[in-house]
Amino acid sequence: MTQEPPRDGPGPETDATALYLEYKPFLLYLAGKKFHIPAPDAEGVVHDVFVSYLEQRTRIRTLRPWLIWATVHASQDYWRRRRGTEPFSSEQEDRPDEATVRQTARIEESFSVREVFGHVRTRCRELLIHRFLEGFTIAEIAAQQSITAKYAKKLVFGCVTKLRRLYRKGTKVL
Amino acid sequence: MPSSAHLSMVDLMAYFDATVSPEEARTILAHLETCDLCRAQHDEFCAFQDELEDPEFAHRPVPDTIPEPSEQQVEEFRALASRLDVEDAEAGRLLPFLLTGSPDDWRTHAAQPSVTMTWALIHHLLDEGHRFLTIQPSHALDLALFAGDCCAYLPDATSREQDHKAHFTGLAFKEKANALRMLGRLPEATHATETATLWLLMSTNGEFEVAGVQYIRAAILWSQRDLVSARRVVRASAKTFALYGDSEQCRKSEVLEAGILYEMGQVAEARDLALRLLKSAQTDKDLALQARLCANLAQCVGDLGDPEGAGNYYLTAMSLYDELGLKTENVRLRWSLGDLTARTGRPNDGLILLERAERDFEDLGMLGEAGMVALSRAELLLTAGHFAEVATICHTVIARFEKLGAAKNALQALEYLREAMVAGRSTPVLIREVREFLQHLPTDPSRAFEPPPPIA
Repeated sequence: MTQEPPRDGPGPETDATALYLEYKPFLLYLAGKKFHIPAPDAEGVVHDVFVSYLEQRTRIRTLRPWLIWATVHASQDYWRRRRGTEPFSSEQEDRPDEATVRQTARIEESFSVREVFGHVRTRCRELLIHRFLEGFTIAEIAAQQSITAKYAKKLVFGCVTKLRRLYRKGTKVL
Repeated sequence: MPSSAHLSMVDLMAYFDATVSPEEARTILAHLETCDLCRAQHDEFCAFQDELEDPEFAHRPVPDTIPEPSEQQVEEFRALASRLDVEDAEAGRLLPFLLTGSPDDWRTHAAQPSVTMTWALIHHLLDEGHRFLTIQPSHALDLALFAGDCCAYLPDATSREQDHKAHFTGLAFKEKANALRMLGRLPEATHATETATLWLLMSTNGEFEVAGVQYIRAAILWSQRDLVSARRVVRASAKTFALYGDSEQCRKSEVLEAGILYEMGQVAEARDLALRLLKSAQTDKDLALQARLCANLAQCVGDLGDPEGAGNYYLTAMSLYDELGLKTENVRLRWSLGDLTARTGRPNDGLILLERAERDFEDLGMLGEAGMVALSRAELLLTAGHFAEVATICHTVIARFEKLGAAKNALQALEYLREAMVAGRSTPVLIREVREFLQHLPTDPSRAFEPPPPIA
């Protein structure tokens, strides 16, 4: 037996507790059953998703898909963070990119963005912009770079991992 | 992974992301070939990843075997929600104090020890900036920059706080990009979209907001006439909005795509997309979008050789704008309808519509627009040989633009037209060149007027 939830979220004015009761079981199911996150940690993942929801609820128009995708991303991130090694980080990648450092304006400096973006190689930044901002598919990026799709995917996700790792390291000194 | 052990979810996730080394990939693959348990888990995980790509995934029924949250959990959540509500209300009260004086004063206020920076305060700043985006983009830019600076004060001791800090910083850059776009500072806006994307990628759940950044990027590319890229980017944003079930944002992206298709000369495709969107706007009773789409459809079907259909769409759009109380949009469309009517064999009817549009613009105090309509009228009258009337119109237009304090190059173009009139050298083509030059000046203010070569 299953129950069909409303297609659209009830909107930001709806009581948050009612939404918690309505959606938490499904989000736990996603984190626990689909992503195999151990029960106590799955609780934590879903809890963080709800906190994000509470903080951003005025911007969220369709609640259910938002909560589901937030849980999916949080669950993926849970496992990615547990991977200890960066398979293709190198000395070269850890060197600041001078061009980026020079380009940073006052606002960027105030965020200590040099600490993060300055350490990501230009190629890495370009790959991320191509994939996530400019909407190129992995196959298109592979064709542009004359590499296999599998390697392109590896590069792109490796760059995301590296960016996040540098940020988490960098923000501690902000 | 140890060769004897089963695959962990960490291995599986890394293998799926393709972030494992070639050697690790070989080991994992070899293990999957021999271990039924891990292969089943891998296949299930891959199937689930495919499910996620299905736009209907988020709407699937929920298994009812999942336990309800305990009373204690609900109570804790209720307390958390209440605390965040209090923070939100506090941020709303703090905002007027924070935004007193100049942007430098804002920063001084934010640095005071009594001010605790919270996510809610950043939210209020971003919302405030967004409110000014179309009416005062320079103020919206100040607010976005300030919101960005305020993000530096957000706590980042835990990974969740770091995550949120990256998210809000990304949102501040997104608003910065939007404001810069509105100000026509396109290269800076482009750079801000890239920075926004990178910040949002550093947060766990930035994908949805990146789609919003993509929308801004597409609009920038459109302004820069890079239509192929603009279309690719806006389609990517629409796809993400659809995945997140945000039909309103998705439709907004598709409206932009229809505009891009039209500019690309793919008029029939633009019409088909606009028609589909019109149907959904009618279902949702979204009058503003219906009006905009009808105006777009008028252009499309007019270009496709159906002036009657175009006229009908213009009239529908005008009546919708009337209903919405948007007088200026209504007058703009009367101008377009007048042009269309005159171009399609009914010059006198077209002239009447243009005359009325000119008068309405004048009544609204929009002298620049009134001048442009007057030039449209002058072009038609000159074609019909009414030289004396055209000379009067030219004098009036010059007077209007002088009153407006128009730029030197705009006045030079109009003066050239006036001299051509006096010398009997003016032609409909020259009037159109001057009108189009004036129309494009806001996007290219330093451009000099180059008169068309004389007819041999």
